[in-house]
Amino acid sequence: MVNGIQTLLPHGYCLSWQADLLLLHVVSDSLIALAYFSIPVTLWVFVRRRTDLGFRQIFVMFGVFILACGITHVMDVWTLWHPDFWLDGWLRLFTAGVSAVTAWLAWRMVPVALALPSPESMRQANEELHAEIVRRRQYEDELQALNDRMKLQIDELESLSYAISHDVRGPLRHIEGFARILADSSAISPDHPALKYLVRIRASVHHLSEIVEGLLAFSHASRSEMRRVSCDPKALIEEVLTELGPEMEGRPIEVRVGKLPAVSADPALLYQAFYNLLANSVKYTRGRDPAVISIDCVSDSANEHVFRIRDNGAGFDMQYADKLFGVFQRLHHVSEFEGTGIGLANVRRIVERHGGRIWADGQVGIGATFFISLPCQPDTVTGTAGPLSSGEPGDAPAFA
Amino acid sequence: MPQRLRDILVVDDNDNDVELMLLSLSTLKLANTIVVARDGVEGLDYLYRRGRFAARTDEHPLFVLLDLNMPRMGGISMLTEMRRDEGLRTVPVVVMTSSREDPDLRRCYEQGINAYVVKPVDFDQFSRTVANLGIFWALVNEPPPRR
Repeated sequence: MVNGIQTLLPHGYCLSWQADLLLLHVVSDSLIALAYFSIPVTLWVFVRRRTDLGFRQIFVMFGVFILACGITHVMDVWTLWHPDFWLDGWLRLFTAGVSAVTAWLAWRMVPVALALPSPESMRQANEELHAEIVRRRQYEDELQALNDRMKLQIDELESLSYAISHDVRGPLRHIEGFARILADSSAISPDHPALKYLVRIRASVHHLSEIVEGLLAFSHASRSEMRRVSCDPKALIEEVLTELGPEMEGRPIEVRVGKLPAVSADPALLYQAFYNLLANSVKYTRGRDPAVISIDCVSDSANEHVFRIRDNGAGFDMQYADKLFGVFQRLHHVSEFEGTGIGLANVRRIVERHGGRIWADGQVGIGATFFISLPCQPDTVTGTAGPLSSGEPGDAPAFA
Repeated sequence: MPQRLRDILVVDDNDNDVELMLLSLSTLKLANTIVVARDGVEGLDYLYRRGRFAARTDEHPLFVLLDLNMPRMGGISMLTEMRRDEGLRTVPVVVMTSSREDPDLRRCYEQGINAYVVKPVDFDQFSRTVANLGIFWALVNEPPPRR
């Protein structure tokens, strides 16, 4: 072992201490080191400010890696004059370790980074979103316009029924009144055929007046504000039967009312629906001995109640069942059974406004069965009201 | 000296309605004069003794039978004018109309009518209704004191 060999020589020795060569290495390594040291600072500032940034770990590792690389270049300058190659070596080993870990981490990052949306795709997504917003706004505007038009139409309908109510009833009353006065006057002898015509005029006026009332009720059922409360159908039906009393008087009619669950409905409208259905049953069972009308609930599921109104009256031909619920649609001649053809249309409108359905089953000469379903909506039940309760504050009078 | 009976004022633009109303009232054989005004303007002319009623010297009518839909001035406007006037505020007003649409009904009561009657289409009912009104307001009801 020779002593001299063990003494390490500074790196400058290898460069033969040539001043220009030394200068080239010193300047280059120093610049590299400075640049490398600045990068972790930049990263640090960037990571600090971008608080939303993911993958912080890789930024830290990258900072340490660059810092370590910078130190090796500082050591390159240092070892030109000072032969601390052991220190230099350990620092390089440290750098190697950090580099390897960083390289490994970077490799592992590739699929994750690839999955990240590129700024371009982000921009596209943004644009699509923006377009969607514009489209939605357009829909909203269209919807608003439709809504406004509908409101206008409702207003028009309202003024129309107001006009009907005012202007059609008047002339009807006048025709009726003067026909009556004429019939009573002494100008026409009691056996004159003109008297019969006067009776017909009055009957026609009464029929027309019923149509007007029916149409008004129909328009009312369509546009009136719904006030849903928990109603007892049995109580409503009892009210209806009282109202129909005069028509049922002296007739052999048996009315069976089964157990009926409470429903969430507008009491005035539901009353009208039951009224029309039961009035029909009473009308079409004329001549039956006994007439049997039954009302019960056939399905009481969690979703809906199905009520059934059955009679043993004239019935109808199922072939024409689709005509049952149309306005002015009739399956019987006025000479057999009087009527306007609005009642069942009205019932359908009322049931549909409650979110329910109506259908019927019939056989000529045997009877008719009507079904109405009403959805259960316990969340809309706000209070309990008896039939046609009109004592609540803010209640509008209910006109059928 | 007995005081002259108060008039009954009918405010209605429709000849047919007026005629049917007068016919129905005539069955009562009331001694009161029935005055007909054709719209709210004429009705107020009568009450304020203006226009063709300028020469009128008697008092306010016993009651007013008022239609709602009339040209120039409708029943509700006339009613509003009447209720604003100290002297006319107490004159009983019975609204007789074809309509029973909610807004009319509510507005009339808000303006302080004394009764609201829907004219029935059936003449027998109409006649009975008018006669009952005549009996009640001319004979049964005690009118506000004379001024």
